Formats: sequence, structure tokens, C-alpha cells
Amino acid sequence: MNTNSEIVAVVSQGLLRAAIRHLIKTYANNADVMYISSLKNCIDGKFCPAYLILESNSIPEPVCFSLEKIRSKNKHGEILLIENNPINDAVKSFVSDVLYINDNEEIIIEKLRRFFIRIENSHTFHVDDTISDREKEIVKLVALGKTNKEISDILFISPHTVITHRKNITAKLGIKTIAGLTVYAILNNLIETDELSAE
Amino acid sequence: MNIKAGTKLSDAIHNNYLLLPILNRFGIQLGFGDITVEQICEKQEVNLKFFLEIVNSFLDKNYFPEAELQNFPLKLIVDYIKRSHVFYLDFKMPQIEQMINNLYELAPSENKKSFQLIRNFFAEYKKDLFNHIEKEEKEVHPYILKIDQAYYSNTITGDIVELVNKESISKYADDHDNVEDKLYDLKNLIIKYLPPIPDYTLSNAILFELFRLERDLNDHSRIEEKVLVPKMQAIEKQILESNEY
Ligand SMILES: [Fe+2]
Ligand SMILES: [Fe+2]
Repeated sequence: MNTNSEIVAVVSQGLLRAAIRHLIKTYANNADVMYISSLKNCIDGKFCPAYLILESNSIPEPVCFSLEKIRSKNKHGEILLIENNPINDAVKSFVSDVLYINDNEEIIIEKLRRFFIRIENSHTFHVDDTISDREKEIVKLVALGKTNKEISDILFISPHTVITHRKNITAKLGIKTIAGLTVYAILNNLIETDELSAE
Repeated sequence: MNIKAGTKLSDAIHNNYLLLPILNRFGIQLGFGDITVEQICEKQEVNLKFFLEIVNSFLDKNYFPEAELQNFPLKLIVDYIKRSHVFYLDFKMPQIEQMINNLYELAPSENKKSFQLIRNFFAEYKKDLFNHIEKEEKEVHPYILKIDQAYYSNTITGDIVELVNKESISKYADDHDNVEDKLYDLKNLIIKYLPPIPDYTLSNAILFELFRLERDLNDHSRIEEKVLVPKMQAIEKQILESNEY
């Protein structure tokens, strides 16, 4: 079975399936849709589709727990929930959008369009932008084992400025040690692990 | 709540359960019924005044009777410090390490790398703490106890004076490095930067442990730096001065 389908739908009703197929044809460039009968593989992290369309009654209870599991395995995927009744905010927070059966045609189409657009712009990974580019550069150099003196030489700034930057970095990130900054730098893709061993 | 001689031990714990590991350090075990602080100290042969100062200064960050604490025998203070070391190295570190390993096991495969970083970070921290404590136990404490013994038995020989000149507690104080910083970082890495795992109760449990350990270590370092060091400095000073004549 192809587990890499961009779009996976967990929808049991024939009418809904047909409708979704038709809508995707129109609004998602006729992309391939894989229909599955149970959400289990998504919860286990075996399937991590870019788009997941699911009927609310396909989600094992507790609903929030299941959704959180799916989310944690599939961070960058979008989830569209098809729902009969109004849902609570907790559930809403896990999904990209909610399609209500009672929504009128226009709204449904608009929501689907937005749903499929979103992915085009969201392939970039989350980068923590609370620190400035200059500060990022410095974090990188610290993580690579450079001393304040070396950093000031490399960036053509005074050692005093380096120290000021480092103070600000520690305050912003909440990380005080070099080892901690190194982990931060790798987690946020500022440096690669092999860059580190090369030093 | 200020713990007094007549306070029931169980009330003290209900008031703040963080005291539990401190009690263990004094050899006090659970199941003590309605016993008061004074009674348990008598039973366990614990210095009541010392117990009260340690416990109350642990509970209240702003209460730190340096002068009173410095009046207690060095042996008593060092003993308490050693017991804390046992608690950190034999109990807390293996326990947290196990939890972090579990965290790694639970991490989804695409995130394993990130969790491996945390494992490495913790392993490094464990080594740091081990080295820190080893130095204290193998070098600093023996020195303190030796000087203390000579000072109070009034047997200050030329060797002792030479030792004071050579070792001096200020050297220890100067490079007594901060073992809490990395813990602080570890907390923030988990809170702010690590991807979440499905079992958030485990992440929470790890954070609870880290917060408690950090607090404990802060209290511990404070005793080392503000009680042990000044008391030793005073003794060293007297030894050196009396030797001038
Ligand atoms: Fe210590
Ligand atoms: Fe220490």
C-alpha cells in the first residue's frame, strides 16, 4: 500500500467519498487520495500524510488524545475535520479547519480551497525568530566552540559587543551554557551535527 | 510555616512535601506517627538546632542564618553535604536518566535525533556533576576535616600550617563551578525547544524532577559557599595568625 499519499481520507460514507473525490479533483489538481477505514495507522505514526481528511466519528475517544497523537507524529500535516455538530475549542485547536456537513456549498468549497493552499506555504520548518540574525550567527559560532575573542575577529565587532549579544541571547533563549546553546543550534537547524564533529 | 522543635513532623511535610528528601538525609524514614521534630531528632541522634536551621532555610529562600549555621561543627555540615551528594548521584541522576531514556524511546522516529541530543546533554551534565562532587569528596572534604580536627584538638603542627598555605579553602571557593546552569538549560530545552511527545505526562514528570533538583542544588551550593567556606576561612586565618608568633 502506498503510505506516502499526499492526501489520506478516513471517510466511511459513500456519498461523502464521492463528494471529496470530486472536490479534490477540482481544487487539488486531481491529486491522489487514499481512503482508509481506520485512523489507527495515523495515530501510530505509520501514515503521515500532508493532508488528512477525517470524519469526526472515525476518531477513537478520547478525541483530543487521538488528535494530539496524530499531531505529534505528523507535525507538518494539515487536518480537515468533517463534522455534523458544533465542536469544542479543544478539538478545534488540533485541526487546520472544520467542514460542517450543514455548511452551504460556497463555504465548503472556500474551506477546501484554503485547506489545500495552506500546505504550499507551510513546508518551511518552524524557525525560532525571537533572536535576530546577528544573534543567530553568534549562537552558531558559540556552538562551534569559538571564543568571544574569535567571534569578535570573525564578525569584525568588538569583544564588548560580543558579550552584549551573548547576554541578550541568554536572556531571550533562557539558555546559559555553551552545551545548551549547541543543542539549541542543532534543534533549530543553525548548525549540522557533522559541522560540530569537524571542529 | 516556620518549623519549630514542637512541630509535628507530619504537619511539616503536609506544609511542604519538598522536605521529604531532606528528612531522608537525616536518616528519618516514614511511618513516624505523630512524633514532633524534637522527639525525632532525639531518637535519630540528630542535632535539633542544626536540623531546624537546615530545614527552615531550605523552605524559605529569604531565611538564611549564616552566622548560626557557621556555628555548627564542620563535621556536621560536611556530613549533611555528603548525604546530599549520595541523594544526587545514587538516586536522582539515575532516576532522571531513566526517564530521559524513556522519553527517547517514545519519541517518534523523525524526532529521535532531537531526543538523542537531550540524552547526550544529560549524560554530559551527569559527568560534570560527578566530577564536581568527586572533587569535593576526595579533595575538599578530607582537607576540611583534617584542619578541623587539628584545630579543635589544638594539635597544629608545621605540616598543618603548610597544608593551609598550600590548599586554602579560597581556592575551592574560587573555582566552585555552578552546577545548576546546565540544569536550567535542560529545563528550557525541554520546555521551549524540544518537539512534544505523545506522552506529555512523562515530559512533565521529568520537568518536575529537574525543578526540584535545581532547587535542592541551589540550597546545597549556598551551604557550601556561605557556610562551609567562610567558616573554614576563619579557621585558616586563626591557624595562620597563631603561627606567626
Ligand atoms: Fe556539593
Ligand atoms: Fe558544590
